Amino acid sequence: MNIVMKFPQHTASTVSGFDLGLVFPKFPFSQVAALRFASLLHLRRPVSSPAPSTLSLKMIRFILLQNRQGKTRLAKYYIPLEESEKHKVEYEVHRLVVNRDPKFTNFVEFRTHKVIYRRYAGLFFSLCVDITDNELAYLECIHLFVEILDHFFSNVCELDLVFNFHKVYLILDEFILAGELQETSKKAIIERMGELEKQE
Amino acid sequence: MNPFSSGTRLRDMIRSIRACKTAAEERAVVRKECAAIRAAISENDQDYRHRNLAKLMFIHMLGYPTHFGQMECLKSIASPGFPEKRIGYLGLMLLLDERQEVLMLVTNSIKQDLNHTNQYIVGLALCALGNICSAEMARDLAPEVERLLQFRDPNIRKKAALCTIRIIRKVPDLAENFINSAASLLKEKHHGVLLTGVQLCTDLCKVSSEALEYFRKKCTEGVVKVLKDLANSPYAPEYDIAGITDPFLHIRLLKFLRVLGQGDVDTSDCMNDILAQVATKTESNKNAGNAILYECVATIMSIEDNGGLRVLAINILGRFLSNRDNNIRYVALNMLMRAITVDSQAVQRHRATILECVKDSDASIRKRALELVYLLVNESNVKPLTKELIDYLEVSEPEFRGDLTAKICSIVEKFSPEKIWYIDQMLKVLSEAGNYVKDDVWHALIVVITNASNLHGYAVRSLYRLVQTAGDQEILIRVAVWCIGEYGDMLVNNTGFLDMEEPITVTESDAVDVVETAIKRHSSDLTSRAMCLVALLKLSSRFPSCSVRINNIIVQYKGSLVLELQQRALEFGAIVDKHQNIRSTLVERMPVLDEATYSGRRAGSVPTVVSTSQGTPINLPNGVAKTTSAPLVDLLDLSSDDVPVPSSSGGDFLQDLLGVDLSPSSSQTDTNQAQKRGTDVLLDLLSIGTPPAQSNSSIPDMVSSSQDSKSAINVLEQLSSPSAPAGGVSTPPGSSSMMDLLDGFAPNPSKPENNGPAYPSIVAFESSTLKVTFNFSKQPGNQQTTIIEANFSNKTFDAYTDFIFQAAVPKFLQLHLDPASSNTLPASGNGSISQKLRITNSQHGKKSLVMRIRIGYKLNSKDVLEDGQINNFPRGL
Repeated sequence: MNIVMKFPQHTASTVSGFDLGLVFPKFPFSQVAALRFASLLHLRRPVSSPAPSTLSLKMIRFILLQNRQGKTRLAKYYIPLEESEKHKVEYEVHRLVVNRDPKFTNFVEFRTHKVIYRRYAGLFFSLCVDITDNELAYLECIHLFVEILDHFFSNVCELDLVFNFHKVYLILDEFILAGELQETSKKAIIERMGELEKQE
Repeated sequence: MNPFSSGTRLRDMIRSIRACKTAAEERAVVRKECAAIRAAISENDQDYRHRNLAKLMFIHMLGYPTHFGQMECLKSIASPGFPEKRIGYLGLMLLLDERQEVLMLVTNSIKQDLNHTNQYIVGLALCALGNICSAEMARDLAPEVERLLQFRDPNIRKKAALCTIRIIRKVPDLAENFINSAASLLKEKHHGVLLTGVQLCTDLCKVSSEALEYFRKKCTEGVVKVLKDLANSPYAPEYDIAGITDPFLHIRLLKFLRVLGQGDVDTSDCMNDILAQVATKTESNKNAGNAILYECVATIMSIEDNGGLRVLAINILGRFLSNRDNNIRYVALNMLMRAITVDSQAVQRHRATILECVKDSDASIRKRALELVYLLVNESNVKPLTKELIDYLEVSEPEFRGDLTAKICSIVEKFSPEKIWYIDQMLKVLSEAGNYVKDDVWHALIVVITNASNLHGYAVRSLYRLVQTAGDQEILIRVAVWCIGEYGDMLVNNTGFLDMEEPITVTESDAVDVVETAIKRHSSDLTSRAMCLVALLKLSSRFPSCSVRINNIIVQYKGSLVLELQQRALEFGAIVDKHQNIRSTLVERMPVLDEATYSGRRAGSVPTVVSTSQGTPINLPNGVAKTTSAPLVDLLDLSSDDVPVPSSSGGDFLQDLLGVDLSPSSSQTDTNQAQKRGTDVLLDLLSIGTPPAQSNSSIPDMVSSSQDSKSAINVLEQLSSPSAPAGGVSTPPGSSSMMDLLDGFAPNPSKPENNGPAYPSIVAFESSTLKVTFNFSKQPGNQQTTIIEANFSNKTFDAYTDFIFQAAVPKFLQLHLDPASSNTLPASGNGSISQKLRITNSQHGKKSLVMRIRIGYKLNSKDVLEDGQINNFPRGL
């Protein structure tokens, strides 16, 4: 039972194009509904045009900041995952990136996606993105984020991130939103953080 | 007061947690803190609320449960001040996600905050909405967000743009409302707003063809101009990265142009110049420049044909491929995979380099390169490419061998110019990495060998030689044993000798040696041993001189503890001993197996699900194709709210079968069926003309799938059922297990009396021991009352006595239970108990039914209790 509960998303990702709001509004997704859905899909998939959601969503799925020991210092998910699943993801990503040779690519395939990671001293910054997305751009994106942190904490180190974890999240929220890049100017973000601090 | 500055206890807590030396100590500290926070929550302590929330977030990050703080987040959001709201929203995004029901409660707060006079508070609300909004919130709040797209402060506009992306991904129907406001964002000068605006337009195009048309007509030129200005812009310190102004904006713009140009010649023409400029002028010595070039190449490849640009693009990829930076080579391989459909000749030119990449030490590069090579293979280059790959197989790392072997086998099967070459290559693979070869591959090899009558001798001699040198490869041994059993005489007599072969002398007893060694290898598994026994039986007739020796070997297995081997040994022994007269006809050579039937069966008979979720390279030639099919089974996809988990494993199984899921359970069915398929063919191979081999199909199955209780039962049934000799053979593989899996969920044959609307029956409760199904009916004229017929069935092999079913319902329901049909439940589903329940729903139409159940019974005179909750009643009861 636990095993099958892991990824409840699939049905929805294929179904959302079929306007599920109309068919089962607000109703808990019962097993019967699952049955009906399944048969609906089965019948309708070949005839209907591809649902919009089958287009690949090129967004960041999650951002992880982990140290070499695998302690998570920041974890931001832009997709809904069960808590247990999140822990599994963090564990797996850490295992994937931690032992890679520095000469190797900064990209590892992870399940059906791709993790773009970069190591700064003992910290690994990992982004999970679509498999066809622009890896190099995300690499640049990680670097920009690190520069912002460095600027904000003036010479950032892991302890800064531990004790000010909430600020790291707030910076991230000014940098990336809904899995998309929001602002590319370091200056703008630092200034914005300053304004927000003043509001407190 | 600020919770994070002076004298905070958050800092102290982090310190004391960091000071812990063991996990137990840490747990103790966390437990203490959680207790204090809980106490503060129950006292409704407002002064420390945000400090407590901050602590909870830290504790959450360490992996401890913090759900008790969810309501605090909501309270904090509802409070008036900015600091409280800020921490509340932060907590909301971390501790909750879009699937929690609690989120419904926050919609109103967010709505108010979106209309707040303080723009920073508006910013907070937008941020939370963008990160965790569900489809329902999207519908409710779309008008507010639309309005905020025109807000005076650019910080709000850009956040609103990204929020809109989230909204239209959740509810694509809403896209049309946003087209105009999105288009106006394209005229912005502010980089942040422009960046998010371009992204929004790209996403709108993906969900709405109307938007795509609109932007194509109205905005293409504008976007081209923006990109031109950006590419030619002077140094701008704020956005400069490695000498390029805002590479991120470059990339977003190129991406948007790609969407606009794809499938539209005029629009594509419009952007030729700027693409050429970007492709030629961008500096490629830094990562940022390469990122732009990479995106530019992707756009050139996707828009409508322009020969000149494509040459330019392929040249860039060529440069990438020879770059020393691994990252750049990786993306080159990635993009060449897409380029191959456009210009395969140009990609072929880089074959040598790509082949080198297959041997790279970095697994990511190897994987890409291998997939690319796989696409590069055609009839003309299959021989050298295969040779290279097989040579590499010898030195490759073990974890890569599986992939590599699968690809080689697939290439060889697909492109082999002649049978002898096919056989040679497959034998090489088998002797190098036989253990990685899938069952259907070596079965196919046997089918090919039987069909090539002029090569029987050659094949069996080659196999004999290989077994001498690579005797540790299980699969190789299986094929060798099978061929020696069939064509042993050709091995000894050198029948069908080819000119190129080296002469070889094999005596009859040498041939038997091979089989004897194989059956005695301690690492041989059941399938191999069983095959050895059949081979021995066959040889006993082909080599009369060895008949006694063979009989001695067979005799040893008469005492085998494995039923299958023992049975074979006994029966074969009897044939050798007592039925000399019919033996030779009994063990004649196998009739030629029909290749078409086999390959058809391999491809077609398995339910389609299996082939999609199989994930083997045979069907998925490359990463690109993978992604087109992946969204269906996308584990990390966004569009997944509003779907609570199907409550029992049963439903999920069904979904698996219908192709919706890729969870482990599906791979379980998958392997099951694959094995079934495998053994089925094996059965074919072994059983025609050898009646005792019938049961062969079930036994390996049982061994291989013993974890899966369901199929184990299935196998048992198969074993016990008197199967006609031919019946077992012709059953399409997979279908029987399919039936079995579906069995439990098919609507119960006893239809509910048809009064009023019919409701589907449900499996209300299922455990490993017991299943309860509910059938529903309504009394005419009384919508509030539902009559439920509960059916209980026993999944174990022991009967249950003193069976009692109890149920409890919330106050708005009234429940009446009729007596059950019996209080004993026979074993193995050989009968069931039924019981009628009558439920009156006083809130009919507003609330749906829920029920707690408890079932008690005596199993082997021990009391057993099972509890469950039923939430999956059909709607409208």
